[in-house]
Amino acid sequence: MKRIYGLEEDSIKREKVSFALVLTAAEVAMLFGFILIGVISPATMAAPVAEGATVTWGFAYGIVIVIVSVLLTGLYVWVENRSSV
Amino acid sequence: MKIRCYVARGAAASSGVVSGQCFAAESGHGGLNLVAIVFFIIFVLATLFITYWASKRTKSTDDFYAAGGQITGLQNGLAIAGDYMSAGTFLGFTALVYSSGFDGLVYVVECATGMPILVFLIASRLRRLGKYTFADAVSARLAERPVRIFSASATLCIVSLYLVAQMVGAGQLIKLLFGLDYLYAEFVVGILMMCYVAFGGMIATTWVQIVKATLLLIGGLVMAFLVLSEFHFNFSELLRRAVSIHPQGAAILGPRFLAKDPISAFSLGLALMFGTSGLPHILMRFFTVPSERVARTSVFWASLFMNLFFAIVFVIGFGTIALVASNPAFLDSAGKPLGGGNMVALHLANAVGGNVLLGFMSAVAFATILAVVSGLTLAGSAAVSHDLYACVFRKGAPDQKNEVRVSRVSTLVLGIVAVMLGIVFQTQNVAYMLSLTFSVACSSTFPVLLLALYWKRLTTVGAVVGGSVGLISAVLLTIAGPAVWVNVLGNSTPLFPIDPPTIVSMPLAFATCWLVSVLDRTRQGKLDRAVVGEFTDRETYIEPISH
Repeated sequence: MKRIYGLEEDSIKREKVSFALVLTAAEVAMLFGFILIGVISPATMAAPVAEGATVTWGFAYGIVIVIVSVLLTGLYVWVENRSSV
Repeated sequence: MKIRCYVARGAAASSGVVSGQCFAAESGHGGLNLVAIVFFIIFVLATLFITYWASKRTKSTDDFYAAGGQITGLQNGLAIAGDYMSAGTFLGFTALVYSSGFDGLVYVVECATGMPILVFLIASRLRRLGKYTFADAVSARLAERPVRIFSASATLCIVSLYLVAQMVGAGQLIKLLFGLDYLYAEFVVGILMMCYVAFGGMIATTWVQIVKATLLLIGGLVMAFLVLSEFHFNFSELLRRAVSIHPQGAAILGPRFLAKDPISAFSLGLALMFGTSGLPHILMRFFTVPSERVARTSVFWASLFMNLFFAIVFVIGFGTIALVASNPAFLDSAGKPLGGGNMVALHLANAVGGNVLLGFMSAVAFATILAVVSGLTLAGSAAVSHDLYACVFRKGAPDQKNEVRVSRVSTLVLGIVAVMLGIVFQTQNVAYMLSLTFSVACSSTFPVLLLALYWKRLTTVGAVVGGSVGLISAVLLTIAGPAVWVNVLGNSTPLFPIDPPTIVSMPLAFATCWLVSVLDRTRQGKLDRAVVGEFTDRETYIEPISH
């Protein structure tokens, strides 16, 4: 059976591509949200997370991005490796 | 303060290195640090031994470019992380946080998103369709010659810019750490790098990266642990001390530079997020693993190690404010850090771990430069020997011995060129070159690669024209922008206000690729479109076919 250059059956391919796209969109949204808030309202980023705390929302958001990026990567790798060679 | 040159230009990229000017303006030689020299010699001997071992195992092009395809996921992950965590991450970002607080961490956070994008969009298809270089994947269904010539040119452009920045930084760093004259420092770096690559190829560079990444991570973790222990493992306490010491007080706890220039802020985010997926020396690492599965796994490990290191920078960055800025032992008479702003991370090592940790981290900092420079040179020499010589000049006729010979020769040439450029640019402010490499990667290699992997209607002409437009616009707009036009050439206002210009050059590249492909009426375009329907599914790379 002839198949198109490097692409699997259309439906499987569509699923895989959209999973990757969803994750990409999530990553982009996360980072651009960070930048957007920093641009529109830096005071929000500089505000403490709790009354009297020193750690600000900026730190919280930043470290969340660092951690979630690894988690999303792990999720993607786990799902893809499970379902392929 | 000298480090403001980073923030003002929005330049520092994660694999960046200290700016030449940041050093040049400070006082001259550093003192001799015996511990550092001992560690340094141990490291150099170990890596030369690795190179010797690697050279015995490097017999074919498979070995030279792709380490025989036998690198495991974990090893490759460490090597990729090593490529990314250079002196710039450890020294440069820490210095940024020292001077500007949270603003420095914005760069760190943005860099942490590069790897996920790489694996979501690029890693597995790249591995499936390529053999040694990313140009293999792009020319899988497009015409060889024009695509390879474009890809090789883009690779050499990116590699050269990166190399110059690294070489200049290396020279300044060694001068300060080991008291060696800049010229000798350049030669030392150049010669060692040429040895690793010419004799050991990808096997050597991979293992050198692995060793260095491990040392950097261990050293970083130790430093972060010691810093936190000074503050009873209470990050808030660390921040409070930093705020009380820093001249800008509580303002350092939030981002400030983003709001000053919103468009540039997004442009920088784009560059740091998508640029990784266009860096040739990183893409090359995907061919050292046996399969797509392992390629994906290696990105997971890479992101884990890199982001761990970025988290460490959160701690040591503010640690430098708390423990170095207030300690007169590390400051000169004007209150600036001894040896320049980029030394604060090492002063911190001294502050928390004494001379031994200082020596260790100094040697590691030097090692990071060597390793990154080697990876870059290998990518450059692969562009010459595999893309240009083997596939364009010899039209894919297999001739492994000659190809390896050409790579070794081009390594030597690249090494000499790198040293010469390092000497020429010694006093120049080269920080803009790092933001430029990311912009160029985002605007030339990344768009072409992404479209080649996913878009069936991309044609040869579209890819080459679009990629070239992206490359040229990225370069010209950077030159016309604040980084070069104002800061280097001394004009008063920039011709182009956005820095980096990614937000313009990247969409421009994509749009040009699309437009030219859609309007393509050439014979080659017809061939490209016909070929899509005919190729059978390919599990592995097929030797290039000349059109």
